[in-house]
Amino acid sequence: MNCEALHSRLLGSEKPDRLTAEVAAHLKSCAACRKWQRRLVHLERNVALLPVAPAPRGKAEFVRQFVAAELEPLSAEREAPSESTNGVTTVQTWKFEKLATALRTSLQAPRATLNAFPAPARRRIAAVLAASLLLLAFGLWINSPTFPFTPKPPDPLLASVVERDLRLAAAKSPSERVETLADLADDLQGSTRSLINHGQPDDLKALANLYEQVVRDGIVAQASSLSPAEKARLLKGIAQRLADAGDEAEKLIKVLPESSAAPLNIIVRAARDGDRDLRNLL
Amino acid sequence: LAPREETKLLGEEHVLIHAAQLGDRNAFAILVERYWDRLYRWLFHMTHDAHAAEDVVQETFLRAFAGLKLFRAGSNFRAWLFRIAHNCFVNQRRVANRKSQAYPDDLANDEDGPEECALSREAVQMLARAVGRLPNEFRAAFLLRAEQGMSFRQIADILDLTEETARWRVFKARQKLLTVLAPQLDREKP
Repeated sequence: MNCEALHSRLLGSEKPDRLTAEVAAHLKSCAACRKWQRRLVHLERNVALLPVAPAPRGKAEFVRQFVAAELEPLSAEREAPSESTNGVTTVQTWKFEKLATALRTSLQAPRATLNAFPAPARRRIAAVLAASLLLLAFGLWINSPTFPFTPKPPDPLLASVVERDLRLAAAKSPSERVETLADLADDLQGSTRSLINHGQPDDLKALANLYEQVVRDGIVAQASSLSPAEKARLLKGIAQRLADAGDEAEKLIKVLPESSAAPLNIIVRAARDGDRDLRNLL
Repeated sequence: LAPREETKLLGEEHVLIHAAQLGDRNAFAILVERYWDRLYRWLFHMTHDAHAAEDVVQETFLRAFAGLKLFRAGSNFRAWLFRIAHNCFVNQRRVANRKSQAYPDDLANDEDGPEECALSREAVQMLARAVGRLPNEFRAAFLLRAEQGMSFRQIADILDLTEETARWRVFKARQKLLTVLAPQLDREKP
């Protein structure tokens, strides 16, 4: 393990102070990395010391009012899923293609068609669209060769893409669409390592194409219709996230087999172009 | 917490949640006492505004109480609360156009950490500013990891991400903070 790989391993580790044997062996022989690891651990431990202003009304007053039933419960939130969708990303290429088609529908519908309808009709259409995407999600699952004999763990990326797509369909403004698309781009980019680690080059290529589509036809296209205030609020941060994604993909190219280079180059190019186009809109 | 203590607290929590699900406000108030500070700290760092953070904390608990019947026994209550808080925070950010306060440099630091790992006051202020400058998405994930000790899987559930994206956001936050703070950290006594 070289120093760069060690840094990467620790930055992505849940607990940088708990060392695997391989990491410990490297640290033992490398003073610079020992110092770097100490800095990282030191930094995280001190986050708990960050100053926080006291709450103006305070916990005690809230508790008093709540127990005295002076505060009414607000409408319920949907329950957070308790069981994680943790698992290896196993989306197959054909699923990406179907998802890309569904995304295209969602991206185009609100701009080209839905806005022509009055708001109540738009909501009905969005609901129908959301329902059809749910059917698509169910279809993707049920058409698996293993169904119904083997229970399948939910695929986190698939679940995320479908959910973002539903949010896109229901989005009421360009800014909501841009934010959802930026999260989707993050999810796709974040899954590249997992696909590479599990040796799925076709999936990686499909993911890279979808990433490019989300950035170019989604984020950048929608960003141009934002108001100046929304551009100022949103675009700098998203451009930075794209720049980071491009840097990360470029780093991966240097350390991975050549078969992964072409799809990662698509991601690098899409992220850099997206970063530049968004900054040009500011 | 020691594992035994943690098991005991979780057992108590289960009883409290069950009572609160039946409408017992006193039981829910104990849960509020237990989680208020953690939620408030996280939201303060997200909003940089004590009023906004407190509003979101209150909204979170009131929504949680209303939705408690939907909470499944055995699920992670803390992660569930943080997820509601995150949704409230996102809505608040969209709706309200509150002006952010500058990061409060002169706040008293009322929490003592272990002496051997405590940074100087100046370094803590630098760390606070650097954390405050992280993009929201990275800051939310990083603070859940570093301050709340949550796993990437829990962070992903709360922020509605894949686990890989949660890991990536913590990775980037750490990388950015180290880049900014390295000279200061080197000056500090290890």
